Amino acid sequence: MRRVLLTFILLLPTALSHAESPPLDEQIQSVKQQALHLSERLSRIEQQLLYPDSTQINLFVSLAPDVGVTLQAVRVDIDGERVATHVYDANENLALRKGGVQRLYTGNLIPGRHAVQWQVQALDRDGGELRLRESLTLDKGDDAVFVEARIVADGPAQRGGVRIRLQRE
Amino acid sequence: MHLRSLLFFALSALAWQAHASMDLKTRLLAGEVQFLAHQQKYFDALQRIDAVQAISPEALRRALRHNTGGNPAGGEAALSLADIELGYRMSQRAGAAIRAVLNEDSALPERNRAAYELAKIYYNKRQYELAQYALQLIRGEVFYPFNHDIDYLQAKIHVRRGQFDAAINILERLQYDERFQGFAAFNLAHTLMAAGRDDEGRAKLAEVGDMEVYDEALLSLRDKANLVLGYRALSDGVPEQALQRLGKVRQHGAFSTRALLGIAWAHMALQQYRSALAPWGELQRRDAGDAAVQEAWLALPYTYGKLGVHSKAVTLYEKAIAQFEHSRAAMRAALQGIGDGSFFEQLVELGGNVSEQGLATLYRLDSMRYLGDVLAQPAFQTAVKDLIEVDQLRATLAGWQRSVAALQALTERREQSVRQLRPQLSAQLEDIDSALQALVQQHDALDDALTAITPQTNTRWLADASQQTLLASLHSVAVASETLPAVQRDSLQQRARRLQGIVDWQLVQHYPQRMQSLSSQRQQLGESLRQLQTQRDRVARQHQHADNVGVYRLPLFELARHMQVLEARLLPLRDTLQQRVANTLREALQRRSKLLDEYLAVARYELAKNYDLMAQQERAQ
Repeated sequence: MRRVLLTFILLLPTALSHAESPPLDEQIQSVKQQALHLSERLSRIEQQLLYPDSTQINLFVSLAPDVGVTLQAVRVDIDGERVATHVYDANENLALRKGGVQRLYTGNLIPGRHAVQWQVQALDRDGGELRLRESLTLDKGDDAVFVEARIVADGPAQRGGVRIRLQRE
Repeated sequence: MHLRSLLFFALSALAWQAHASMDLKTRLLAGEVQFLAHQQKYFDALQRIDAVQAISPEALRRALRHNTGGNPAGGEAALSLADIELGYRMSQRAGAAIRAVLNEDSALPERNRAAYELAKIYYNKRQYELAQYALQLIRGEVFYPFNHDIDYLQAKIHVRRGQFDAAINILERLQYDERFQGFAAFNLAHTLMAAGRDDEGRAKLAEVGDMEVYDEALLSLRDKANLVLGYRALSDGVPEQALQRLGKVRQHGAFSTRALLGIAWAHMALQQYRSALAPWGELQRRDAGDAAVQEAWLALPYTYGKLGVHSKAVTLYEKAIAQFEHSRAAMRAALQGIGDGSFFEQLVELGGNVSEQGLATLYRLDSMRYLGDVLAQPAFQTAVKDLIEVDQLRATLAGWQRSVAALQALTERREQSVRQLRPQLSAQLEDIDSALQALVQQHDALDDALTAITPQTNTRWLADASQQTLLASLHSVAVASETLPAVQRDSLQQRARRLQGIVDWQLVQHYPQRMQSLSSQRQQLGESLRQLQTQRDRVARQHQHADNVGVYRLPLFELARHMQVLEARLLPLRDTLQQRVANTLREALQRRSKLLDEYLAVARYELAKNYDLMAQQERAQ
């Protein structure tokens, strides 16, 4: 009986789409799907044209689950030049706390050695202001670079008890 | 807790366990999808999903699977993707993902969750038979709280299919689960009444109406229960009971105006006209767009008439007529706004915020005050969401079309510059290749020499320029002396050999320094070679890039064409959706307008009547 039910359910989409679903709803879902497909194609071409792997750099921000800070702002300088700044709202903090990773910046960097400096402003559990800094020397080669700045606990969860951990690929 | 929250909680809780071993790029891309989904930016999240899947179809599932504990089948990952798809109200795509979980060799808990999600999709699409079939796919032992989620959905399906007794059995159990506090009992009351067990239903509803709660949702549910009981009592001709129930409805909740209306009519039914004045008066101070308030505008002078205060009744009827005429004008303006599209401009400005708060923004607009009931209906809100999403897609598409045009212009410019640059790059590449070849030869020769030289042999390779000249001269002297008489020849050759011996002796003496110098030269040559090679790579990359610029022309052209196709689909769809929303609003406004016409007619008649009665009173005095 279960097999019969399963087969029935698995065969349903065709029958549904032609007979039972409201056509307007189907049309809406279909245009959404078409839009997503076009968006994917556009972003692929955009990436290849505007950010080829040989120069592409991507910067991300994430929060370790136990860190208990509220991000306020982040700033990234590459070779002394500001490339990205962001001011966080409550929703973004919540999304980061739930394990989301924010893409902060996608841009181009000429191959060679570069200094990447991160500055993060945050509030600790008691509302105390934290100012964190971390630097990374980056050898940009032919592959796209992905850098994650992860705010992690560093010792007791109190003022100053967090740091930025930089990872790259 | 909503399943979405549970699912994301599970995702994030487990995400970090496997954090270290996941490759960074994939983990970041999966995390980005989660970041967007957690902010309910579902379209953006789906864009990312599709982009990642296009590069590596397995990458995202692998990352999400990893984040959810790394189970081999990956059903949980597929379900979390389906959850994002449902967030963007793409039930077909989500349904397909969920069916895939049912079809693949997933673990039993995932299959059960997939069946439950599928049942929810069918339920929301009002396909109750299919929802029932999907639930029947759930197998094995299911634990709390998931088992109660399933039961609650099952009860709702039973109700929709008219299987009230089965629904009652389930709801009776669920009413004691804190997660369904109030709601299960409220549904149970309605189901009991639908099953013809009216007294039991009312008793249950009374329990909901008497519950001690502090949460806003539950307070609102309690108000609703008391409102239903109050109006039932009114229609049953038991106004005392109605007063008791309606008096429990909060004075400033969503149901307050209807409760005040009921209280006033209950007093009227009891012929307590003076008592009715307070709720009528309170209603008159409320929003004039509310249907209950409009009724009060008519009922208050009517009550004064009943009390024999005709002069007050006359004044209030005149005010009511003015108020009704003002409302009618506002409704006409609203109808006009719907007709000329200005209403929809305000509507789409709400963006994704089709919540009560968002709609309240519209509600504050004078012309929209008469649509409060319609705006609050879930079906209408869904229709508005559809319209807004399609409109946003239209705006997004316009942005993409601009991007494509910009990319086309960019590639064209690049092609032009490439055409000019290519010969130069080719020549540069040739020059570098020649230089590279010469350097390689030089390097190889030096390398061979260095390998061959030992302190015993070939040390003359180490001779410096002056020594080379000297050795060459001595060699010439030796050759030239062959033509001289033997005595002179031997003497000269002996002297030449002695001098060569001195040079050789010097070379052996300086062997370590000379060798070191040569090695250093080789090293420098190697460095020059590397630099030249890097330069060649850079020029070769530019050359290759120049060759590749043209390859984007066709894909961009195709993309632009497909975007036009989508635009051609979106525009009529948007118009249809706008028409659907407009029709609902127009019908609602026309209904209200008709009611208002009736109120106006009654008010004018009663005004005239009260003028007469007032005149009679004056004459009598």
